Amino acid sequence: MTSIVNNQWYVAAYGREIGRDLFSRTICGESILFWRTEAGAVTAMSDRCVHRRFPLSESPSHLLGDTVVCGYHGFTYGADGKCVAVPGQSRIPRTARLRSYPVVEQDSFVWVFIGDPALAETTRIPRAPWLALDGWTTVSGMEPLAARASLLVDNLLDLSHETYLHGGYIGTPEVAETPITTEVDEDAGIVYVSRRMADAACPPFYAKSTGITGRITRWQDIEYTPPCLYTLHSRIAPAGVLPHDDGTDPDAFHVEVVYAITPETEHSTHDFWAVARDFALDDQGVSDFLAENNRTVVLQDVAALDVLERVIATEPDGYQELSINIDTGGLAARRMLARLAGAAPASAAR
Amino acid sequence: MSDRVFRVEWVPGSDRLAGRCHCGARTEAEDPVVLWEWLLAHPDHPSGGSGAPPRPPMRLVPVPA
Repeated sequence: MTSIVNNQWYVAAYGREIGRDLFSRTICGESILFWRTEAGAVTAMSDRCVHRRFPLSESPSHLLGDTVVCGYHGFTYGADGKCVAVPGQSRIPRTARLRSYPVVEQDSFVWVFIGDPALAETTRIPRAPWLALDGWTTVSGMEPLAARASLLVDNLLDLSHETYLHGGYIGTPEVAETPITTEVDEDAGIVYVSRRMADAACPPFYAKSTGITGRITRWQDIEYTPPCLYTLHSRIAPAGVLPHDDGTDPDAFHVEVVYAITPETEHSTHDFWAVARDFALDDQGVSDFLAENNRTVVLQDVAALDVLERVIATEPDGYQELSINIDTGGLAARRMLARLAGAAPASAAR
Repeated sequence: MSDRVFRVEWVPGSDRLAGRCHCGARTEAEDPVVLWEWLLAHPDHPSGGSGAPPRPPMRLVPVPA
């Protein structure tokens, strides 16, 4: 049975990746061609010519106005995927149409709907507004992960691993030592995991970007909207500095760490990451530092999860695991994913 | 948040987890898998807390004629 959740919106790309060049990416096992029309709209359609399956993203396939011309025999398709010309004859077969995908450009991402297109309109696209909002500066990237998406979900829902896997970057002893609170909103379909550190060491990631030299109050509030979007609301302030009673928080630094977890195949994942901040907005040095360091952290996860995928891929289904308190949020996420996949167990997935 | 929220807190100073269902039922456990099973059994939370043994399976009892 597939582990990929169907009938959902997934991040396929950053908007900046899609232009007037043909762009292909495999999303949930489906090879999809993306390009922009002359008016700037993103299109998404199958990256296989209906004739002999030649990938339309491969040269010498090319765009001609708002059509894409197959580089093998010249089949030509419009922005809706419908074939508008075939070689040597005037009759265009009725079935000559590429599968097209609902697509939405939002919050700097290109979202594509995988599943029954009729369900796209009524299916939520979760938001990450900070990525394209005045008052915030964002660095972002995407790393290929040779591991199933669920391993990245496990990883991100339990940040105690920061202490061990990311020591010297974002991890300090307090992360693993601090108890978490987990909430599951059944109606909204969101898992929340909160870790509030009142007096913690400031890891280099935040010390160098904020300029804080002493100990900090560090809040990590995770909000995971399965299957694709994960946000870590991170609050950093000098130890003891809290938000004001009126809710304003002018003395803290806020970072929104966003991940889009998009299956490429059953056993590989597109690991989109973005770091938005509300301070040092125009400081290119801070942007460069955060981009380089967060990419390093992501690659530390990628290396570990690639190894883990190779290990568990050789094990029989139902391999033995042990869960402890730190896994409370991850277990909730697994259960929600299983429910979305239509295979909700009566109890939390183990 | 909606009204249907499960909440699990790490009991301060201990290794135990405290769970609260949206119906108001509460329990504690040392194992998050056990705790989730208890919470997700709503509205049929096992009595006696999450450490209680499972109820015996139901069986049909013939009705005397």
